[in-house]
Amino acid sequence: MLQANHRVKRYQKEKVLGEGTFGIVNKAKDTKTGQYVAIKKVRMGNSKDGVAIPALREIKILQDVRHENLINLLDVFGTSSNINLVFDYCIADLEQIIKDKTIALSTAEVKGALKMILCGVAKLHDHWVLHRDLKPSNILMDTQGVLKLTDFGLSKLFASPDRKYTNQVVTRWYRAPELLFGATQYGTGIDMWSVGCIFAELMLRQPYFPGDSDIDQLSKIYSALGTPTEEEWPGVAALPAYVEFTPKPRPPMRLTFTAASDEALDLLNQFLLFDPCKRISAHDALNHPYFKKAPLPCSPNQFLEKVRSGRLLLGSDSHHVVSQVETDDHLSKRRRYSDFGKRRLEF
Amino acid sequence: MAQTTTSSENRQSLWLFSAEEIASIPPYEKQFVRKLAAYIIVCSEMLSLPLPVAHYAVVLLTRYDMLYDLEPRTEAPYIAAACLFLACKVQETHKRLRDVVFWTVRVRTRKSRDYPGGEEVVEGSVRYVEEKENLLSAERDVLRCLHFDIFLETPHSSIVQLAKIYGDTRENQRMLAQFALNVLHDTYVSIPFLHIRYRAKEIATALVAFAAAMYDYPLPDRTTENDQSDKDNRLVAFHEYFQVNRIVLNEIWKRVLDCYEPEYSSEEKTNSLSKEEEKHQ
Repeated sequence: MLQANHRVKRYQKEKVLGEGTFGIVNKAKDTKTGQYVAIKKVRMGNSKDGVAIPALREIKILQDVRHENLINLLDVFGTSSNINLVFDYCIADLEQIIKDKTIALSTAEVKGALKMILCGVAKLHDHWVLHRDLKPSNILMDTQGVLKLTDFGLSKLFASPDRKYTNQVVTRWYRAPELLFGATQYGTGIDMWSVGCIFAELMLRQPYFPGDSDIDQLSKIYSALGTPTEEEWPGVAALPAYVEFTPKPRPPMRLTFTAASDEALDLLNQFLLFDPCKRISAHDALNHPYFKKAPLPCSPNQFLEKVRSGRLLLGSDSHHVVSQVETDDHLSKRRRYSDFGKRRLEF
Repeated sequence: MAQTTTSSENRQSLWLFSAEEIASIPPYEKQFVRKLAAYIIVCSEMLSLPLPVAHYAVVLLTRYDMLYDLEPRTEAPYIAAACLFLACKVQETHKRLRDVVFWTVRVRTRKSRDYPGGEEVVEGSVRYVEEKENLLSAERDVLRCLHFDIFLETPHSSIVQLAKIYGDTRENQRMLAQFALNVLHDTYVSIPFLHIRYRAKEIATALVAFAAAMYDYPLPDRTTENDQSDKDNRLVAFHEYFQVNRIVLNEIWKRVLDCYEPEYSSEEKTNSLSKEEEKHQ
């Protein structure tokens, strides 16, 4: 049976990697394996409702779905006021790679990156999970050059077709038009739209639809793709927050993506179809001619080499301050509640 | 086509205990866990929670008990309540903390001398703060003691899947699924340890077969081909769909029948299940 896993002083913290909505991410060394790991510390002190639901979602989904292109949850442990999620250590995120103009991404590298993203998304969708927050900063690159989807705090199972979900998901620039119009019943299409935006961003090296507000977002989408007609997107006018825009013609995509191949533009078009039912699925996208024609997608190693050629990773591993991560004590230690609840359980 | 096992199922098997381990639990402790399971079910009814959420909570509780005996502990009701609160969160059926505190305290204290109808703890009171603190501490304790392993498969969806495959009409499908789900619900209260002894799919297969036996509905017990020209479209034996061992099925049937004595544990029904076994052999 399961053995109590005592992780006393197992992880040595080295530096802060970043801070998100739910806590701080530290780089640490696993003294047991010698590997570097990322420890996401989820705060619990201010939570009125106990352990935060996004943290539980993330744990549950990552325990259920495992794939090379999804971040690997190595361990979870509790400290006095936090839950610590231990992940594979990643050296950069896709946003940093896109922003670093010293890295010149070739077609093969864009294909390789998109293929890795699609493999991760396909695996999630196979397990009936919507990521709901796909964006370049939530796609990390590990030490082998493999891209991994991360941050499953907004993820959700979508097994019930009639169930209603919140539309306040996905960062605005990557949000599908049905969400902007307040749809509460949606599916994998919202993730595929985000993948389309990321694909466009990989080619343009800047966000494709950088809206300042929901209306501005829609305006930017319509400027690039034209205003959808009722035939293109049946039922759009019935969406809860539907706003009618002045009809705009669809400009040729070739004007924006001057160097893209026909296959690339066709795939991008299929990611960015207005009707979510017609939008391409992750599996179909992986079988698209774009990935079959030369140049073929690069390997993770080649992608890593290209990223290393830029400024991004120069001197990234220097000046670490080593300190111990607070870890939990012996699991079999019994705790008792006082009858009047004066003493809290240690955690 | 028969289903193959996945990595998450393999992980689930880490949480299965041997017959010896379960047999070593003293009867009074088993009884105590049953009481706590019943407490969870009643609280879930008061909170209008779907049954799978309560069932999920019962499995968490039994797992906890296997690692850290609940019996002598005064905080056991808080652990049970925390399992329910945690199940709500993990199963995406959110309930407000104040409602969970209110109903778990009320159900726990009812029939007591001071509060025959159950104590009503109102948000903002000193008692509420105490109870809330205890519940939240227990929640963290449960998570830590279960090593944050919160992914758990329950037999519900597999029961529905099997009923849809093996029921020839919509009516029969409904009948098989409904009976199996009713029995399943009873097992969480009467024999909660069943769910840490066998895989969810084994329990689902056993209960659908049990439902079929109760209604004298014949299930295919060996590989048969519906259409000779389409070999992929064959109906596999009911126990082969999830690749369940027939000895395991027999064990589950016996455990289930034991909990229904004397109503269902008649010679006749036991014989009908055994006859099926003999036929197979």
